[in-house]
Amino acid sequence: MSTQLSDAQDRRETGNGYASVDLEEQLRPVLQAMLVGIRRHRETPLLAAFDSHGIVAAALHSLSNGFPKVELDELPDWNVVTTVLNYLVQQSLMDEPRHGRAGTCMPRGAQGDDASQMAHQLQEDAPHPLVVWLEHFYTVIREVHPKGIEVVMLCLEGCDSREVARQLELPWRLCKRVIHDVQQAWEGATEKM
Amino acid sequence: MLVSTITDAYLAAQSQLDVDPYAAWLVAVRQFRGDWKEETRPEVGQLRDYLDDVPQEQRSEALQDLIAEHLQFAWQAGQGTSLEPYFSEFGMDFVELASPAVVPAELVEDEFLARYVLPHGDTPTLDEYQRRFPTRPDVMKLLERRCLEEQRYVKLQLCGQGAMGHVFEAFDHHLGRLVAIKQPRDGLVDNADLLRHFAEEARVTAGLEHPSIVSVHEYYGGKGTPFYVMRLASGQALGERIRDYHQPSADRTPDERRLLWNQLLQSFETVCEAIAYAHACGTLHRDLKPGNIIVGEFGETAVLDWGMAKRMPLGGACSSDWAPTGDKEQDTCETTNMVVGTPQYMPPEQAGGISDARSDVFGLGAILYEILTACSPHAWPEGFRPADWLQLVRDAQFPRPRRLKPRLPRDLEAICLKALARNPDARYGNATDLAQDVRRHLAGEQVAARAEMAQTMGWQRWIPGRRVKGET
Repeated sequence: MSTQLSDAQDRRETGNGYASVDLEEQLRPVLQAMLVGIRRHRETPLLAAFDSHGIVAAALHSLSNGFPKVELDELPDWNVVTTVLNYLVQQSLMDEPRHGRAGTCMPRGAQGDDASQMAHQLQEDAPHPLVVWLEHFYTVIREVHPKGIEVVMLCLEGCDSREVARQLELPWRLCKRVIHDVQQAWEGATEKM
Repeated sequence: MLVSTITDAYLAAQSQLDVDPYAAWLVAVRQFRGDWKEETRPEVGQLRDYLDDVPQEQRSEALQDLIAEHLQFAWQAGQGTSLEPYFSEFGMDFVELASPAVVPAELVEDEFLARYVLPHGDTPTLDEYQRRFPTRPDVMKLLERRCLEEQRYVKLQLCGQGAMGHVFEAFDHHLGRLVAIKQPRDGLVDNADLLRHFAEEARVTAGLEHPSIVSVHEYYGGKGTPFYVMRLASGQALGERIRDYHQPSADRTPDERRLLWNQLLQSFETVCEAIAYAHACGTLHRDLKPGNIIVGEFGETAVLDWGMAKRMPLGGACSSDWAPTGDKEQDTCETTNMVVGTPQYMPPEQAGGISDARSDVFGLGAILYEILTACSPHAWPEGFRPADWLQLVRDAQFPRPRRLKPRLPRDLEAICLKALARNPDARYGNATDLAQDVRRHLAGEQVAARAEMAQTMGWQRWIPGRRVKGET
């Protein structure tokens, strides 16, 4: 794990930013799911301000439910992914993620860790990649259906289509259609990227 | 900053929404719902009339939605049937509805679920579906996913979910009643630590038998995903009730407001007693908040979500007059730095990874604070950095209730502030004392917290007509 991250970091330090950019690209969908987890936890049952493992695990699960076609297998070593995600979750919970004060709010045990250094570097360049990704996400989804964004958000929170339909008071099959259209629109958009 | 950026993007997106390719479909279903509720109660054949404006390519699915809704309403009204009449009516026009051999499996699932609508449902078993759909393994697979423990339990719908698990409303075939079932999330079933925590949560909750604590009936940890079965608590979350009360409403008379206010305080008192009982059994809740309290239609109150509960390490903690011994090792549950709970309602010592019975007293005080002011003591101010927020929790910094609501009774403010004292020693020694003080306030008697505050601050003369405890 640390080898991959160190390599990526070395390449970035020597001017080759491709490795970290690739990692960002691959992580963005997961970050989105994770963010939903964070949002939920801020408002409702925060299993500790710092239980990032639970949030990440739930977010990853939501992601695989909500977007089964995302090629999760192509992500780098899962340990790397979850370590970076854990760090980012903690940062999001503990401090502003965009201009994070790394060092003052780092989670216990993460200080000096390769993953945290890597994640910190990913955050240094404004705008935050997650924000860029989300803006693109909204642009695509808003064209599908008035409730497209709400539908996807609920899917990412782990709701199945019946639960989404119930919460939004939509007929279930209509809700499934919207989810299908959103998936198609998103796949089309990512192919163009 | 990230959150506000995302919100801006979301709002910008919302403002530009004007495309709805499924508007006619939605209108058709809403029209049907409205007609049924107005007692028009359309017959099976009349469902076709709702499809007039629906585009041709959407009609089949829209009709299936209408059939699903019709089944649901009809079973609720005690007029439910199986799918066969729908096949006869629509089979000629819609190939998917021609026979049991081709009907979409999800529509069969709709029928299955509609038949669990109580009190008129007939709560079917899988055997019947096996007979009716012998060539449809897909149907059986779908229905089997809803059944647990050899069909004893049928999961009907999701009631709630968190990061760790789901809670479903379910039907217990053995006892013929609705129950709640909690399962860990699918993605977490391989995590041995979480499963151990899940089993411990069930054990801790099962150890509590109190009318205001949701009891655990069974735990199943064998094959497949573990789950446990609880009493189904229905009603409104206390948080919603608090919001309702504080919502400015022209319709409410002063008497109605007073009644609601007293109901809120009585619910709170009940919660205090339930927590006092849990403490007497040696259990801490550690996540007390209005969202974890359900108030039923008849005022019955239940404390939910003991997912973060811990047994107190004291062997002799099973007594109603348990009080901290002053020995940190003995009194506290947590000596690790793992922080659990919800920051908005979290006591300062719990933000440092330590909790004891007085931490739950703080949690109760935080609930009272929300009843009084409509906001939590540690509400996250917009734009605040979470690190500073946590510091706020550790410092127990929050405005006094009467600063937010100047017309609040001073007695209640005194009770609330005593429960929310930063120093655990300055709080009520146990939840029973807190409940008693609230009861005294409701009865118009002198409350201990106010007298204590007056004594402490030398304000006795400012309490007209009231004798301070210990005064001659």
